[in-house]
Amino acid sequence: MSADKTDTYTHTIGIPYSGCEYVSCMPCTSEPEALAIAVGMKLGGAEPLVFMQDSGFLNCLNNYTSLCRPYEIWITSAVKEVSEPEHHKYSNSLFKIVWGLR
Amino acid sequence: MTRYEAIQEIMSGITDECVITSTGMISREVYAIKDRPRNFYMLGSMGYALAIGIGLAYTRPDLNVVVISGDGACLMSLGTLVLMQKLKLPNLTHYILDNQCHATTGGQPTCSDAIDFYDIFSNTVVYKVSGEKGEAPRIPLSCKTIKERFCASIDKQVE
Repeated sequence: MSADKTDTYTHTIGIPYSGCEYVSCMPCTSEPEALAIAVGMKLGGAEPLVFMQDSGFLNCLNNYTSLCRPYEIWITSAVKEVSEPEHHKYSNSLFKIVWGLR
Repeated sequence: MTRYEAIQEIMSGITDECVITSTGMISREVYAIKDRPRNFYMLGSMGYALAIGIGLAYTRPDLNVVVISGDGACLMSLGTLVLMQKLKLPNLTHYILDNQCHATTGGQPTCSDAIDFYDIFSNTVVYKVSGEKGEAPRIPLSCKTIKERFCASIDKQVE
């Protein structure tokens, strides 16, 4: 899910990418870590927004499927698609497939 | 000391704290020793119990948060221990039960014998424990139930 407005969220948290418009409330070390921190925030009643680029989203698949989904803890995620240069091409292709499975 | 004994010791001092437990036998043994709504049992996502604890402690300074991890899980997310060291959240306590193996899956060795977690992460409490698997059964609660009763216990609902 993409998010255009940040003013509806209590915290923004994530891993920056080139041209990133978000500022993380703490210096996370990985995307799945940021997602798990957001889960903890949400358990406490906050409404966090997680941001990352698409390769980072792929890093998070286990936490989306083994944490967020079974516990039904829904975290708004803003994911930046990056398809160039070549080293981004394949992860972006896989991201499009996985994103379409939601 | 066994892992079970370490958990008994930790949980004997727990009153109103939120306790986040790592995937596998740690969650099972905490459930067996002292189940309570303020325990959040991780049943998957190995390596991220501390991150959940950081998120909760960061946004809820009115709560005291305790995280119980194993060495295998910590090694999967070492960066999170560094983040904890940086944030210095006064309401977050992290226990590492270090048995130098993946006990839940049969005792396969980790590489934690190469370091002492406490030497690097002075804000953790480290128990050196033996590596037996233990006998605690699976937790008979759904993930959703674990979440709902946890959130009700801290008076917040998650949708």
